[in-house]
Amino acid sequence: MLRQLVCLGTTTNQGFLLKILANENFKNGIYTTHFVNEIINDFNGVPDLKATDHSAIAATLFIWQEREKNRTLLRSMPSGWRNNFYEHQKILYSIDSKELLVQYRFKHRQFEFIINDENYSVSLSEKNKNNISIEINGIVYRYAIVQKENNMYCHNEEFGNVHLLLKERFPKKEVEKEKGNYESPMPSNVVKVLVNKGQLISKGEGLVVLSSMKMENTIFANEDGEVEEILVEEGMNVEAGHLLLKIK
Amino acid sequence: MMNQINSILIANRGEIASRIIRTCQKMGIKSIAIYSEADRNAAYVQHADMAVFIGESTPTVSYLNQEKIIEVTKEMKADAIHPGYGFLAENAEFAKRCKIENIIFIGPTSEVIDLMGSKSNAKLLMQKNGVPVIPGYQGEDQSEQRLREEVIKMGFPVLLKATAGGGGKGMRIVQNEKELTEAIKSAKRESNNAFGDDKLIVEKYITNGRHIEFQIFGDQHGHVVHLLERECSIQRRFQKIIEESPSPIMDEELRNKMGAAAIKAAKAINYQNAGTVEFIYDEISKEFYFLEINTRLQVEHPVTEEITGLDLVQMQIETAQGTPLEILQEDIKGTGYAVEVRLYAEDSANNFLPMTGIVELFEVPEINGLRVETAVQSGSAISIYYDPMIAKLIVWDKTRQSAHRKMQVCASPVSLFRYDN
Repeated sequence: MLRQLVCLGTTTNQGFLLKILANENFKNGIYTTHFVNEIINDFNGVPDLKATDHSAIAATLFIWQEREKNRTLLRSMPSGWRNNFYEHQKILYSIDSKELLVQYRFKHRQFEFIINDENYSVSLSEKNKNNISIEINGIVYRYAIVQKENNMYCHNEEFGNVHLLLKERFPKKEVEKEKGNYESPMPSNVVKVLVNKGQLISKGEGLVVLSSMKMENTIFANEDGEVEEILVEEGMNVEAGHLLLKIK
Repeated sequence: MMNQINSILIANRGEIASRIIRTCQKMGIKSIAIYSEADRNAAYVQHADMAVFIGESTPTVSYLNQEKIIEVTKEMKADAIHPGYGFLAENAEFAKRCKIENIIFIGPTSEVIDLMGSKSNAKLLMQKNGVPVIPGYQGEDQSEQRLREEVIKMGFPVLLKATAGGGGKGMRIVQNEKELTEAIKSAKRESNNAFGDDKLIVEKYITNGRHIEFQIFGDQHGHVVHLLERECSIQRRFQKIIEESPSPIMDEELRNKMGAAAIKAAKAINYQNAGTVEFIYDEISKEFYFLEINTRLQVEHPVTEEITGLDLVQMQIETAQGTPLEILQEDIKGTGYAVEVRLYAEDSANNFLPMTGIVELFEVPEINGLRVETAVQSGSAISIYYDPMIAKLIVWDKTRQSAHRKMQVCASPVSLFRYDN
């Protein structure tokens, strides 16, 4: 039921709630008010490859279907027809800032997908607005998908929510988010700067305390290093994405 | 004194406004919603019989604007105000103003709200009335020096709490002396920002504690009952995310003991309307201690409704108009088991940071035994102005296990997606 709930578009704690509900100690009623702190660390585990691959397939077919629907020219030609039949169509996503290349071709009413050297035989069963039903290697998966510009938000009952970012086909050289830059995640007020310029800090140390929605949030260091520059001062209001400080 | 309520202005927003409107409709009471700029297209505005625009999105000029709300209530000729939870729900001054203006405030009296609004007063009062309280310091001397001395006398870990607090704001667990100075400062600051008061109380922190609360209900004629417990130990940032009833550790003997203490606490202040007595239960010593009384309808009230079959909002309206509460303690029996989870726009992988954005797609499964409380639809915005809760999902079933099966669970790990705003 919680996994059937579809809430796409903003980050939610849905996955985290499911994680608690699946926890053995929680199931047995063995927990205290520390429970969340105790399990939070095993939460940030390795992403499930199957979840990303399957979601990428679903997203690709979603885009494919939308495109087909709008196709007016050469409707009798098979989709994705190429002069070089052996060349796959390619689509590039990024997930958690890692690139994911999806190759596929349409052949004998079926799709053949290659992702990370893994082959999938796929067919599209049904598509209806935000819902798409696909068969991957003989198993049917239902997805709810929302496309918002380059964002593909995918939900599947088993895999939960996966957010894919659609990259341009001929990507410009990407402006990588510079390492060591700390930005405000949302519009906030700077309550306190906990470090000084030139100070040596270690991973996990608090850097800046922000306040938004009346709650204080501390921005923590993701690495060991030295505070290179501080760009905010206490009391300042900052927008989302405002650079707070740099660490080298 | 009977004062039949025929129309209610709901001084709140979001899911709780929708919840109150539903009961109003059931009772044939006219519901009047208020909305800010950000809520112009909200679902609850459509659900209400009437809706009145009250101002900009910032809460201080809209949902916290007492004068404006009272003015609108009078203009609309509403008999009563339901404050929901949060905003003005526990504001004694507002309850008092309603009374002066001859508007029924659906909640406890302003005197009781005032008394319980201060955690230090509440503790002292309960102690005097024989309700067990956690050892701690709740004195007037708020100098850092004094707080420091009290903490060291008590021994670490300790819990700092805003006297005026609620919702986890102004709370800090302090593990050692090194953290103490900064913790006192930041708790005072947060408390001052949220409540306009920086007084703190210090408590011995119970390491193996479970948060168990009892729903209480009193009428205007001195009759008080409790509607069983809710276990709310699953919290992050001192805010609950999963609540259940019955508590997995509860047996009849403990329930009777804690229930009796809850009633004692309520009677000590002649409690009227819906309230919650919060306890911390120490799993090691098997003792329980009074924490506070929340003088409002709680976010997690549906859990109690599901196991008792009662409509707490209806009971609130009835007691507010003076109807005697007819239910007797011995008739209150929980059936089955209920659990609530709160869906928040937040990043669990990043210290539960609140998130904003658009909920592009929101679809609720249709399942028997599932109740969803939300004001969100596909396309709704989660704005910076208000609490980022998206929905509450409540499941009732015969047993804890079967209810959890319904509520959950995928065997494989779930990936979260991120929305970079």
